[in-house]
Amino acid sequence: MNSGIVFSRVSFSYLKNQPVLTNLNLQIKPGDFFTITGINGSGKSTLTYLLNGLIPQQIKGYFTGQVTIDSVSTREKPVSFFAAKVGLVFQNPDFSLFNLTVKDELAFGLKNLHQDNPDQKIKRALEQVHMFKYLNRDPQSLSFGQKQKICLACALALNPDYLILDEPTAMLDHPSAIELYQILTRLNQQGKTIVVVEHHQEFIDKFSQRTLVLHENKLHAAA
Amino acid sequence: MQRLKLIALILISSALISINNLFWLFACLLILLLANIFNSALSQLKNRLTPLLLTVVLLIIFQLLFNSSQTYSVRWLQSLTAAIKILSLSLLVFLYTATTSINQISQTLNFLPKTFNFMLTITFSLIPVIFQEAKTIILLQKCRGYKNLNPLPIIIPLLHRTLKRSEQIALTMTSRGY
Repeated sequence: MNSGIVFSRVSFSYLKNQPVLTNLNLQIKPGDFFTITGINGSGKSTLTYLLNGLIPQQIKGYFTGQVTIDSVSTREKPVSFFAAKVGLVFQNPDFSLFNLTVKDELAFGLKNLHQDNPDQKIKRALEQVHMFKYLNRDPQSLSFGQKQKICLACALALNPDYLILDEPTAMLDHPSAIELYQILTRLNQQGKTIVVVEHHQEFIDKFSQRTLVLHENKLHAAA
Repeated sequence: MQRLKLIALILISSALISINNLFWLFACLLILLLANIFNSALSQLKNRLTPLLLTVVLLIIFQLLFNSSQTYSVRWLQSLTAAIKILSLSLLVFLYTATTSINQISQTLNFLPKTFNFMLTITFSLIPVIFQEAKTIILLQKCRGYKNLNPLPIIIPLLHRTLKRSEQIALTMTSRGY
């Protein structure tokens, strides 16, 4: 059952008495195009780690409250359980690509989750981001925008219901950023829930359906 | 073909380690040097050999100064043999890496256990990235007046970035179900 991602009284700090997020209540509904905004250091990236169970399973700290993904608590299951449901694209694609070819990069998640027809899924994911011609290229030889799209394709290959992107346009030129948002809008129209951490007001106004503003570790507005 | 190349590399390396005849070692060194010259640009070879030659010279000096249990003629012979072996082995590896892509090396090693092969693949894929990062850090530090005397302003940020990268890769791998 898809009940979305629900935060109930979530607080988190990496070090004791230095809260990053405080008493956060939030629901991301299936089919949303959701943006999270806020000043640097307001806890946006930490929030993305909570969205797929990296906190509390992989990243340790002081975590209270509960995050549920389609009614399953992130405390109960390992990250690999949520990997096929929630695709996370990190802020810096340079640090997220570690295989020798684009094909291997996409096949990595499919192999881990023992999914069938990997070649077909890789082709479909790369076509969705218009990158199929780069199938056999070394990911490190691509431009920054292309790497960003490959990271998105890696998440898409697992066909997740939720796509989380941490500042995907931070280092992109304007046309590449617009192209990325057009891809995300299309995916949203196909039924995927999109959550984007974004600074640019222009993109928030143009593409987002709901926006959450984080300020001083707290949720200040969900418009 | 790639597997044959790897087997040849292992066999020749073993032979170079076990041979102690100076004439044969010198012949091997000459052949490998010529093969490298024909295969890659001279400037590239020079860049790779310069730090190696310094190491070899140091090795000879240490042998001559501190191997006091032997006569000088034996010290010369031993240091020369060791120096030629090191140079030959290095040239052999240069030749192999210059004629084989990282991808091919990784494919050749696919008979190894899956986890070990994957670890090697990540290492191979990150070597050029880390070298590139070191070059960028050197340029950045030069812009701030760095003068090549102290390696710490290069090593510390490089280590920091490499650790941060490995941490991020671990999180990415976990996110993709590893």
